[in-house]
Amino acid sequence: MKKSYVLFFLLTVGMNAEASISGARKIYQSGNKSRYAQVAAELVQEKMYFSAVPFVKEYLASTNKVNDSALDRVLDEIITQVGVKQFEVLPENILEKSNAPTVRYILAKKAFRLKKYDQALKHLNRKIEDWHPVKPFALLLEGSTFAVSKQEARAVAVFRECVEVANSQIKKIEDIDRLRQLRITRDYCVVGIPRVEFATAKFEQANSSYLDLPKSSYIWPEILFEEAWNSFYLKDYNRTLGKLVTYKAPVFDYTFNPEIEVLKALSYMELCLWDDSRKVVEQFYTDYEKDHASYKKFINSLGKDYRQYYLLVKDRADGKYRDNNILSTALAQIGRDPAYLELYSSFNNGRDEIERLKSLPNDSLKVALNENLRESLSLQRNLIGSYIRGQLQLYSAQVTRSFEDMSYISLEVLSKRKTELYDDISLRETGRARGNVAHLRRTDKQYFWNFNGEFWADELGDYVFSLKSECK
Amino acid sequence: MMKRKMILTFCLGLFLTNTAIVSTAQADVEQRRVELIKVLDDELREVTRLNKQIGAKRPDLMLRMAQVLLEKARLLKEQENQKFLEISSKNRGKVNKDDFFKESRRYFDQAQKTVLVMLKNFKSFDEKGDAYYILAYNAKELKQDEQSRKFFQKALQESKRNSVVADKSRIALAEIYFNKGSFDKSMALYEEALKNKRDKWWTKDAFNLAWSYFKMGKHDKAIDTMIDSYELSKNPKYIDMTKSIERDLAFFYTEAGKGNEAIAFYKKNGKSVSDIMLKVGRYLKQQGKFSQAEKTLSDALQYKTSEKEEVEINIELIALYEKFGRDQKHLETSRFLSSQFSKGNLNSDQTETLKFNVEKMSALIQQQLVSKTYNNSSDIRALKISSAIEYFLMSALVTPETSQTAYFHAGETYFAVGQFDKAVPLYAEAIKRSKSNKDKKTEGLAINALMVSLGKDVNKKTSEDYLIPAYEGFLSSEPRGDRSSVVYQRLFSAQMAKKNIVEAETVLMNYKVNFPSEEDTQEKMLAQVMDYHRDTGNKAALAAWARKVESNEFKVSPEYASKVKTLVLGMQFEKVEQASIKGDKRGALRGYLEIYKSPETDNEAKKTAAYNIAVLFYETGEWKQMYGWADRAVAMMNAQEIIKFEKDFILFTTDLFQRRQFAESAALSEKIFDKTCQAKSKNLKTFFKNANVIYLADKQFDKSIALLDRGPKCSVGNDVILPGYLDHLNELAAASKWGSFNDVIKKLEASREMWPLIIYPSSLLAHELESIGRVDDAGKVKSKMVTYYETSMKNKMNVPLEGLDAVALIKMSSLEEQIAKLNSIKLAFPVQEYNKQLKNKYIILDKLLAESVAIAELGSGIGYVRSMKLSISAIEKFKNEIVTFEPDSKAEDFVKSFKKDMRNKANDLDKQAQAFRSDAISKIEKDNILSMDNGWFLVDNASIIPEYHNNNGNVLMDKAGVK
Repeated sequence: MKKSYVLFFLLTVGMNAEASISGARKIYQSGNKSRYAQVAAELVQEKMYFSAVPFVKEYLASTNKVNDSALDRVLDEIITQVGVKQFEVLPENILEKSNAPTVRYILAKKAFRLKKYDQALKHLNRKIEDWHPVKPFALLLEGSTFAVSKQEARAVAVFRECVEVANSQIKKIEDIDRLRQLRITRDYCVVGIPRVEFATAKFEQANSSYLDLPKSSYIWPEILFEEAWNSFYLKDYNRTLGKLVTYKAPVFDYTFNPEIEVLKALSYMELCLWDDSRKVVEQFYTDYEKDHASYKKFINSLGKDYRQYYLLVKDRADGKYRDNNILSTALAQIGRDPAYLELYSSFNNGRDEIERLKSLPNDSLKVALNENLRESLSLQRNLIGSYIRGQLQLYSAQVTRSFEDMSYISLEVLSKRKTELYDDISLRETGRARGNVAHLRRTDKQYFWNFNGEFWADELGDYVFSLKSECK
Repeated sequence: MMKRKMILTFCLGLFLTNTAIVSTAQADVEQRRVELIKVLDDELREVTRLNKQIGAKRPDLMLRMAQVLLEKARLLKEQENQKFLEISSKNRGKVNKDDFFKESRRYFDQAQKTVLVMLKNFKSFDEKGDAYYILAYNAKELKQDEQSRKFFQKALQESKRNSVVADKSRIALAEIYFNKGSFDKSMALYEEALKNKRDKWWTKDAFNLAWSYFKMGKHDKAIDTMIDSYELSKNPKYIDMTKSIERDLAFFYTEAGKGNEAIAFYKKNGKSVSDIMLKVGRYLKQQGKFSQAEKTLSDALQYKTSEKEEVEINIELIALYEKFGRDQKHLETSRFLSSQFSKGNLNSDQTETLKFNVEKMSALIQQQLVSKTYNNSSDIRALKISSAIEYFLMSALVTPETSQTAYFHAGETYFAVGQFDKAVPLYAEAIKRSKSNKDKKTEGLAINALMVSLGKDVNKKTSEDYLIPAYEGFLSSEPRGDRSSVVYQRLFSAQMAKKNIVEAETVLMNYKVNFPSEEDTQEKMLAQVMDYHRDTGNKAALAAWARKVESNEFKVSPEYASKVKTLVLGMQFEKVEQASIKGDKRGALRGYLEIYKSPETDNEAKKTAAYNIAVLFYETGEWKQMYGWADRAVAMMNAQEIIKFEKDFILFTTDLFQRRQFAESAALSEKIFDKTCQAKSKNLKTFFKNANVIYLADKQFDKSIALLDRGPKCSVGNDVILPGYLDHLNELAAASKWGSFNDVIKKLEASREMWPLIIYPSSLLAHELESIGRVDDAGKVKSKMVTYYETSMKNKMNVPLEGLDAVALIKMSSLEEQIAKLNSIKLAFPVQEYNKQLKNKYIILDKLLAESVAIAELGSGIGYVRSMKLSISAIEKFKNEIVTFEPDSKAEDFVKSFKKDMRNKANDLDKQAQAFRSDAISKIEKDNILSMDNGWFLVDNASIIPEYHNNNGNVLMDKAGVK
């Protein structure tokens, strides 16, 4: 139902004050690769994180076992600055050499992606202190893992802990980027609870729990869709449609989620409003069929040229690709995507290191650092491009899937229409009664707003339709 | 994917149940079919679009497409079938079926093809069972039964054991075997398929399973399955099989020998035990177990819960009783069913059964009676007669449309056994019913039978009660037959004897219609009717019949007609006339007035009343009322009636005239004249003349002329009419009405005998024309006057004196011209000239005197006196001229001689003048001539004009007139 969420975070770790670029040169020029960890530590001290990445990776690859808390701290610091992506590309056997909480988190995440939930939980089981910056992210992952492995009660407990820990850290943090990360993580943990409730068909509970996520949350727009599904399962189709109509608000014009239309068509169908349902289907085909064909063609033409993908978001911001609505919206969405923003931010930080390298004397270290930086940044750009490509392909798949869903809805509607005809029900149609508040249901936490076609910021997500079901 | 699966499953489910649903569609089937085809087209488009999006052929979609194609094919075929059936049977044979059904066939083929391609390309497709199911269904549609069975078998093999398709295939196969009678196979398949209560059809399929068990001798299982199906049928989600189960379960119980369980079952389910026993009874009957059936059905009566059930049981029983000759029971059952029939509790089949039984039994017993089967056993015979009659009457009850036959046969039954008094009422009823059912044949038979029966030794009451119906019946079927005239008379007499006057009158009227020429008989019958009304004082009825006589509706002898008239009038005027005789005029008037105003009074009486009222008012001197009523009476009376009373009418008009009521007098006269115009009335001329004179006296010239103009039409002779016109003319002149004067003259001018008479009136016209300056017109009139005169004289007609006067005055102008000519010649000397002049003067004088003589000869006193006057004056003037002439000569002698001669001449002239004068005076005296010029001769002193007065002070006209 919902895409798996991607976590990014920044880790700020205290560094050894004695380390320096000269120290790094001295160790590097010793030619002892077993001391590359120390070189990395020296470079971290000089905030040359991208330059340090190849040294750490080579160290991890060449060492049998890492049992160094200092290195763990260095790894935490580097991963925090360059992002987990740079290390996710490493095989598990290399990452497993480290006990660093961030590395354990990466390992757990990789296991999670491979649906090795026990493995993931095993990586996370080892104690990470509450104060550790990765703790909220790890808890989110742990909660999610319990959730997907049907250990709902434990999942809910972990999500609650996650919210608590995140809030505790938020109070102590001033860095804006870091705060945003924590808040997003906390909010995902907040919605982790209704997600679990939803998964266990406790829709009424989930309906209330979703309301714990404030509308000010960065993730609220995407969660609204989940709420719409929840209402759908509560058979409160008017509320589902009300929530979906929120996406029509201009502030959400970056939102790319073809499934919104699918759910809308489905809701109409459940209300037996066959014509409305089919209208949504037909409109969807009209809106997307042609654009999607050219969208797919365009993506295919780019092949695996990550550099080109990397440039797409920027080019879109500069006014390109607006002709194709799917591409334009998809790129806009990626542009607001926290994962993309973190990747891009890290990449920019890496470019700062280039300037700092220029000030260094021309020696073997500079040559090596130059090579390291080029390699890391190249990887970073490719990671960004790859991420964009993945997202674009994901969207394409979503659209394709939505076409399929829409067609099935259409077929379902036609089947129901047939049933009516065979049963001779619809021919006794007495006219449609629409927009009656008597068809509403709401809980204490919900406010009923009259939807009059306007979008008011404080009403977003509270719209409720009042269509009378025409089911016989 | 889960969602997709759900949708497909749903669609399949729908497809599987379509047949039954569609079959229930009724009037709007076509509309829905068209709509469905549209939906199916949309589905096809959607599946195609989906395929395109997915970019690869997927077996599930192909399956879906095949389902849709098959569904569309079926709908198209239904549509084509309907159209095919709409073709007349005559033309249907000419239709090329392949061509006609090609569209549906195309879709069947496509569906088939799609499934086959799918099966070929996706050998491992896990829903192959569904595909084979489609193929099976397709084959079933195409009536390829064996092929269909094979595909269902394949569908069963290819589908998962507990899948919907597997069960549906099992059911389809089970149905095939069930219909083939392979109950062992159908039982096994149903058993497996019905383990899960998957859909609403479970109850129906279980019903078949129960029958399969039953057929396989597994009675207990059959009953248990039926009960399961029965219980589930109560759930609205399932097809309701309760009715069928209630019907068939009884067989099962009976066959299994579980009667008590059956009763328990039906009681438990609120069903009637008797109902089930009835079912069992029927079953036993079907099985040929009649005695058991009779017992069961008889027992069932104990448990009956309603009359309906009782009827149903008895219907079954009556057939058994009939079969086994249980006569008494049969009769009792027939009685019960007949009473139920009367209450409207029998349906059409039950009614037919009852009809059959009562008709059969009645006929059978009648036959036995006629053939004298029971003649030796009087008790049985009596019972049989009674039964036969009862059956016939029951037959009549259940077949009202032919009930006359039943009654007739009932009558015949009694007749056959010599019970005529009992036969008679039945024949009578048969006649009555024959009439209402328009059965002439039976009616004729019954009438004859009735007449014959009445001719037998029947008692008096029967005769009294049925004689009239018999006659009526006879006449109804034979209204103009040879015997009918007599029967009419008998019927009439019978009705009159019973004082059934209305019926008697009807008979009379019918007789008149059917025997119009039998006027004597009609009159006799009519006389009886009128006598009856007279005796009973029914004046209205009497008057009504009198009117029929009067209007000739009944042709009666004049004597009788007169009698009737007198009778009716006499009745009306009897009392009033008595009052009149007694001198009670007021009472008489009131009486006549009442008669006149009464709506029942006929015209005859009205006019008599009006006349009598007029007479009474005449007698009392109230002329206005008299006039009014006389006028009414005249208006109503015909000419002969008026003539009858014309003396009285003359009295009325005279009275009015004398009272100076000219208008009323004239109007009444005219009205009487008009009414009697064409009749021979002695007084017609009198009324004519009176009317005209009175109109003229009243200066009503228009009415006068209108009356005069009508005269000839009423055969009034010119001897009356022309004087009338003449009077009219004179009155016009007297009233100075000249406008129509000439027109009237023209009317008179047409008759030459009137010419002498119109001379004078013409002179008045001429005088009027002269006075207004139309001298030429006056001259023309005068010219005509002369013509009238001369013609009259030539024809020796007498011209009235005033006519002669007028002509004389015209001629006078010629005389005056001669006088003027005489005077214009002046005597003068020389003597030769004088002589010549004198000679001329004598010549003129001769002419003048000749003229004067001619005028005198006209016979006009006035003309004569005037001409004498003028002539004498001219002579004397001439004489004086001679005497006073002094010759222009100095010769005395000559003068003397001359004067002497002249004196002699003068004396001659004077003598002549004196002679004329004397003649004139003598004539005036002798002939009593009254002329304005009389004074010139008679009065010496013109200054004294004598006047004469008589004792009464009236002025007498002086013969001398004025000078």
